[in-house]
Amino acid sequence: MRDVRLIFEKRGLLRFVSHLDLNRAVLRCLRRTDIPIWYTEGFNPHPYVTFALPLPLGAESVNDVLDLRVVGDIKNREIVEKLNAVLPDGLRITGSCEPRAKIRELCKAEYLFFFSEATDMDRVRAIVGGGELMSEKPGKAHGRKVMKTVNLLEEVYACAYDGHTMKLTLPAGSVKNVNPISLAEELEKKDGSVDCRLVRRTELLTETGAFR
Amino acid sequence: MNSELEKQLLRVQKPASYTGNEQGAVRKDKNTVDVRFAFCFPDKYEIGMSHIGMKILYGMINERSDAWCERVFAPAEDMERVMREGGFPLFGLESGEPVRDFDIIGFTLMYELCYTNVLNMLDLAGLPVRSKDRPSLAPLVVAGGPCCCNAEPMAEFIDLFMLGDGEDVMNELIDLYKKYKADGGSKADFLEEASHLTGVYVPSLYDVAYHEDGTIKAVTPLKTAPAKATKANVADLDNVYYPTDFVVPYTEIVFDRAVHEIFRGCIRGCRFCQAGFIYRPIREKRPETISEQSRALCEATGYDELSLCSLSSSDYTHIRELLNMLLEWTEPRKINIALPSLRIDNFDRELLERLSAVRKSGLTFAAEAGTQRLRDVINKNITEEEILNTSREAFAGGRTAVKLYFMLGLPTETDEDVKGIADLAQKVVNEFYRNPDKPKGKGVQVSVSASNFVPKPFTPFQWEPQDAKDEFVRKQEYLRSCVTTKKASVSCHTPAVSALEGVMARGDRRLADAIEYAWRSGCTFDSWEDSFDYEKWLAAFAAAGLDPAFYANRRRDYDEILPWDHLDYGIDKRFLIREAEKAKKAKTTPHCRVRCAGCGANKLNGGRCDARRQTDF
Ligand code: SF4
Repeated sequence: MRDVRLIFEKRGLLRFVSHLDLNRAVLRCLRRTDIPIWYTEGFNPHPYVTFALPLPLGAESVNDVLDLRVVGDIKNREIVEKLNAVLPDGLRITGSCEPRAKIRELCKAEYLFFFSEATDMDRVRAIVGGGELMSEKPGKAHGRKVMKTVNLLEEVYACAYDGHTMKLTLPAGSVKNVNPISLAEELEKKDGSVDCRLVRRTELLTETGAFR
Repeated sequence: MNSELEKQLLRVQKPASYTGNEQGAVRKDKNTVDVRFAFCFPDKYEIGMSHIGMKILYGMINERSDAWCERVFAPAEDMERVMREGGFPLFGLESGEPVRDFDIIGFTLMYELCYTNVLNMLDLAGLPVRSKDRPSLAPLVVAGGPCCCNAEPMAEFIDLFMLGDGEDVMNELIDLYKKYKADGGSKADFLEEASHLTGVYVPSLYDVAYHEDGTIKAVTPLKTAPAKATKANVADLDNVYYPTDFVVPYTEIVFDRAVHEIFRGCIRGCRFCQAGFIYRPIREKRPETISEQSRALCEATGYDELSLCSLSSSDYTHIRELLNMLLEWTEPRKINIALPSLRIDNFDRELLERLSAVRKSGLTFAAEAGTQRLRDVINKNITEEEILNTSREAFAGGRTAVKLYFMLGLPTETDEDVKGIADLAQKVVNEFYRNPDKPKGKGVQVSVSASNFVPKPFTPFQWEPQDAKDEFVRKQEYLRSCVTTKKASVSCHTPAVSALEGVMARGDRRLADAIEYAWRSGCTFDSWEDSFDYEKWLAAFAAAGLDPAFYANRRRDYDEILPWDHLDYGIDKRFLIREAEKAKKAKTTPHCRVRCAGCGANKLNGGRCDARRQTDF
């Protein structure tokens, strides 16, 4: 029994598939292969598949990470081949490795925001440069459900522009997580010209580098 | 898919139900096919995707290299808003292209309360809802499914109905369409020629005349249309198409699993059950075929549950053989086998144990009526003793929940029968406490579910009046007052919904005006409690000058011409009258394995009916 870390991408229309639904789809795809997956013991045995960080509905990802527990001496290359043969369009395993970083080490992620030609990028720069973009999100206070207002731009680790594309590195993981889709929506609300066509998560990061 | 619409998808619930990129979805190059078929299910994705008929026909049409079948579901309210605001017409999920540009638009009519959704979908597609306002051959609007056995309320909207088994007539219909399309033939000529196919009913080729009192005077076929349209019948289930792959959804749907139909028809002859009659004669599939095909299906889809479906699974002749065959490969692969509609009067304990090794489901009885007298009236072959015996064993085995299904408003029902429902529930509760081995520290929960009886065409009760809405309300209240134990809960269906269903089920083509009026005043998703609006429907009937009671609450004479009399589902009217008369005397009819009751449906299959065991021949 061992864990293998699979690097994958989720693109195109698959961005409308929620995290939970993707999880089920991957389990089904695994059943269609003869990869010797490890099953949990007990009344309702199920395979062990863990995604490093759920992707918000509507975003694409590349260099995304999931861990899979297998038994027997199957090689990583075989797992990748077998799985790619059954994965749906838009989902593809692009690499594999031994899990090195622990999930809790994941703290940042890099995103690309693609804006339409009509978008006034100076406005985007101004808003993002201002460091404040408030958003309401459901949260909990004293065990009760409340709406919380958060500043999506409170921490921006890196910011770069290339034409109508913006690259942002934002907090991600279990401690603090900024939803890039909310960020795009709030930008659109701030300025009528802003039209974000696509958000792509391009890398999961630890304090020291890419999450692998 | 249109990129503008893609962007809007984030504004709606369950966007993945509109993207059409599921595993198993079939994509083709539209330039290489002659016929594009939009298979429309007039309800939400999670309902439609659970429907086996759609899976079969989708696979079957897509097997043809000259045709491409895509799926279309009724967009939920939020998606409809996005589509109407943005001017996005109804589209096929696979290509994202407008269905109004397709060749054939096929609706499946599973229940009467989907009719307004059909109109709404045609409208969303940008098409006129009435057949006569769509003069060209394409898009041809067809419909199939059980409701077509009385298609009349939808006769003004649908160009052509497919009666009976879709697998049998679909390919012939597509071939004929293809020919007319290539030759530039007219819709009128096409429809006339199509009406000669077994399993096709073209409503516009029948003229209906009425008496003063509103009943039908005569139904006259026009041009060369046959006097009666006969349902299509698959002669041999072992040699008919069955999909080797399903479209596997991303989002959760009602039944998300592999399904296999083990036989068609039902031997039971419960007098209220339309499905029990219109799917006759009985045709069984061989266990080898089922095992082989479902194994391929599980491998292709990755499903971990296989459901064996039929109207009464335990009546399948080779059920033991089949389960043993299946368990051989499902057990090592950790695939669950689900056996819905299992009847208790012949269910097999040892077998059940092996099935429930994986999952213990609750115990369910479709008792349907509260007293033996009324169960005899409806020919529901189940006794109180059987229910109590099985409950006792189940309690001893550690179960604590029992579900009992009943109907209110069955013919000849009295308050005593209603009270009988409560009494039976109480007896099941008592059985639990009398049991020395009952699970310690746990209570019993008996849930009583009472639906409202709707008389349906092609049943012995097709002449019966339905209880009025207020009578249902009164009976429901009375039933609740009879239940005194806290261990039993009662849930009832909304009487107004059943009342509308009652009108639609036995309605005639004059209902078209009411359906269109109701839809125009905002009725859609009538089968969903939160969108059903009875007041609007009453206004629609009034506007159309129709009295709902004429359709729902009136007793018909045996010699009255019924709106579906020109449709032949194999069921002999004389048989239905015999059954109706026996019902009045509370006399039962033995099931088809004991004795053939002469329903007549075997004539559709060259005299053959698999109700009799092979050894009987
Ligand atoms: S033909 Fe006879 S045995 Fe077959 S379904 Fe009809 S009544 Fe039953």
